Amino acid sequence: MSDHKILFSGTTGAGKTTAIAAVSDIPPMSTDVRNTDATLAKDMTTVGLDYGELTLDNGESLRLYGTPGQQRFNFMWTILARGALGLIVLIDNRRDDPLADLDMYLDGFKALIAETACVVGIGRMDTHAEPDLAHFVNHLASRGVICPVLPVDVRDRAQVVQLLELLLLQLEMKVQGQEDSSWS
Amino acid sequence: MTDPTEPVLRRTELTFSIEGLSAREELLLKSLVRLLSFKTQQHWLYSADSLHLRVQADSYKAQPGASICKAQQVLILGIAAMPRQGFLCLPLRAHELEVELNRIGALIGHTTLAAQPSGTLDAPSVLVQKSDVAEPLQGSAQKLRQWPPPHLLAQPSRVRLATLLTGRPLTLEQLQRISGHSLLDCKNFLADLAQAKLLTGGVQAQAQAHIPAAQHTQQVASSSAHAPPSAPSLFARIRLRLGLQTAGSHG
Repeated sequence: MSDHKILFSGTTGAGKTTAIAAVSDIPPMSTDVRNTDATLAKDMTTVGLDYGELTLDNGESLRLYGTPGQQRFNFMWTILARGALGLIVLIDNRRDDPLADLDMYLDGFKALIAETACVVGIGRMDTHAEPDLAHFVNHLASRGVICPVLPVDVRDRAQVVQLLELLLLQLEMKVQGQEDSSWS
Repeated sequence: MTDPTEPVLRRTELTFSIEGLSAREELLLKSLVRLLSFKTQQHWLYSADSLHLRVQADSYKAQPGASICKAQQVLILGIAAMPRQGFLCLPLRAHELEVELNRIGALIGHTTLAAQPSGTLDAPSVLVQKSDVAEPLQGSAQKLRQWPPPHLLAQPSRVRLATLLTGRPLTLEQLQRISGHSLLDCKNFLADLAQAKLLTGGVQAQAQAHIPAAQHTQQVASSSAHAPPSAPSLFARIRLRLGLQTAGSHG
């Protein structure tokens, strides 16, 4: 039986745990601990990873991993990225420099993004409109990354599903492109 | 069933930029335009690099060397006894702004159509039928140069179309077949993207797009024992599990 995985990455507080909980069949398993970082306005924070899964109709599993947000855990990003179908990056627009946050994940998952697919969801744009979507789009383009960039509220399951759907669309196009080229 | 938003979506989209206004006046102007957007004859959207209309304070001095599109309309805002054509008095009044936007919108349309045969117009050909604009794209594979701005993605279907165009170059026919959306929707979207210079095409781009796909497919095959042909059914299964339609899973 095969298993597949999709990664959710983003800074602490970007909503990875919530996003996974929104679509997972099982209650997400999180390695949360009490937050001692005074700059983060939440009681618990994920120091390891989040895990959720979807069981497909043929019994296969789609594993959903939320990577640890802090850069000091980036050694785990490489491990988690192996064999992943794609990446959803969640950005918290309340933070000081969301574009720098984006850079961190573009660098950390460079190979995965180049080889698979990526969707960027910007959170809290309703209260923190800057940088706006155009800034993110231009920034991604300057890094040679062309992928969907959308405002998102991960508490809304439909919006998380949309992120996943856009990821799947990109993957299909890549796979079909490969099939087409193998026939030509 | 009639879609109540349909008349809005059918209107021509025009953009405006703002120069030299205070932050407060700029915010007020943008808010008024949004409020009026259901009444004006064209659908006006803010864009910092608009080629259609530049709204500027009467005290504003353009920077030396700043490029000005010769077909671009200008609306001045300032202090005067009476509004006049091309000039509105501050504080702004919604009905005066509406009249002026409609006048300028009509002018842009007239200018565009009149200038179209000569091909000398710098501004986008906004009032030409989009299906006609997209005609040259037929048979030519195109992909996105960068993700489109929000005003081009107002309809949910367009987010999906744009996503399809991030992967590899597609012709109009391929885009229509894969997406399952109407040919007209696809044509109009491609026309809007072309107008915004967001498309890049050609064989070279297609070849580049295939390289990472091939690498990834091998990786997926080796890591999950899935041969490439089975991948679409995997995606269909995931969609099914997420409660999505399988329209994106093309065959």
